[in-house]
Amino acid sequence: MTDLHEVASEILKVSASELSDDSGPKNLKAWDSLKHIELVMAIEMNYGIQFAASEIMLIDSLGSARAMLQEKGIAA
Amino acid sequence: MTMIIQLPRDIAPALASEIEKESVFVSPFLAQLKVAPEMDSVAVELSDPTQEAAVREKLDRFLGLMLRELPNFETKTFFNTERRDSGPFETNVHRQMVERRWIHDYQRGRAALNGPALALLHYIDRTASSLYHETFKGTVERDFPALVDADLLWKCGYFDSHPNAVCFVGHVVEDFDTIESFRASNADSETVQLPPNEHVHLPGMCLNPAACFPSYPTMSGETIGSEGRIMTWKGRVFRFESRNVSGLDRLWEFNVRELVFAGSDDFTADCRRRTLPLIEELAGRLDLECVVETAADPFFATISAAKSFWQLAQEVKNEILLPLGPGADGSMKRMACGSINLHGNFFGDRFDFKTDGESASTACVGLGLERWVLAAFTQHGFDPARWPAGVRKEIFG
Repeated sequence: MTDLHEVASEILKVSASELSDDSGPKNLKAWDSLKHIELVMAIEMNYGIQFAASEIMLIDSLGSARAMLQEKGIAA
Repeated sequence: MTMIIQLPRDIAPALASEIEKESVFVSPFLAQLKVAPEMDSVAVELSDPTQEAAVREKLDRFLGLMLRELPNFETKTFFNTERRDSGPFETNVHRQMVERRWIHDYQRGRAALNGPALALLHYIDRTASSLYHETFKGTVERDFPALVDADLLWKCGYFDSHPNAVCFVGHVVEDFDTIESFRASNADSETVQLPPNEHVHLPGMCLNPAACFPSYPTMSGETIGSEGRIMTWKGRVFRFESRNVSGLDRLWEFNVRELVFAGSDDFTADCRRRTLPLIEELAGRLDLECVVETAADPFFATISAAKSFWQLAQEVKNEILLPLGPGADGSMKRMACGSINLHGNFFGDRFDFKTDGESASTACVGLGLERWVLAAFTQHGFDPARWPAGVRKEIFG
């Protein structure tokens, strides 16, 4: 299983070393509404889970995605 | 030659219809794609069997994108009007209108309306415009060119969302010999002779694909006060539909009665809310069954799932649907005849117009007039007695 920052790096085309759990649409220009969905789908595929629509809209940073994965019992 | 491609899962009828419609943009060698009645496979006809591998590779990517699964949203219905006319839905309306010479069909998605069909188009346009002016004091009647800069569409995000529908405008290059060659080839020919591609220049101009777009640059640099800005006009719109063109329901060139609001978030949201009863009133005057509900645009395949998700999640697009009678499977066919859209501050930001120091919000309402005409004749038929008295007089004299 790929690390969450590695998944985001692949989708957002940003070096994993530049990403932190604070990274999100507010501080990353590459994270637009289209990339948001691509990232969600990549996370779903990587961890074998599905987010609800309300969860997809609540993800506002890699940290919030990590927290949601942990709620689903996944140590990301 | 026909290929059968098994789908990884059964799909819903709405997605099947979308896949069939969008498949025309997969390859010029794909003659037809049909989803099987079992909704678990597609049958693909190729115009050139030697292209099978290349088409298959594109199709696999296209189907993979179209089948991307994102959570669904429940459709929200705002109103659903009934009609008083108890007569049946008319069939073959377009053919009958052509036979009556109410439509001259040029083919390839262009039609000239005449007689009662044109009178009805004018009635719908005039009535919508009157309702807008009566309800929204200060509405300004405008007019905008149908020939727009490619840069305008780029700023509006159109090349990102609907690249397949763009129509560029070209001209013969400004070269004496090239122009003379074009002139002479037509003068000596019994049929039209188009210039070769290398003799055509694309100067970065397009035919406008969404009525509201040319209105935004006119507000650039302005600050819009608390009273907001409201404009309405009838615009010509062009969308390349490839082989999907069909009668009045899918034209390449059509007319739209447009209404644009600009101002604060609260102002545009309130205007959109106040537009709903006007659409209900318009449908009522025409005695039409009409539904308005949340929807998403038919985006190009690569971004379709993501863009649709956001449109539905934020409920920014409300679609005006007019029923056309039962389809082959017994369910009611409905045609999208317009939409009521919130844009947030996207256009205010792109074209630099502000309200309260921030990029202004916009919203728009577009009515596809030829589709309203088709739907009205489908719901009432050709017997004037079935039409509401006020409309009957206007269109049948």
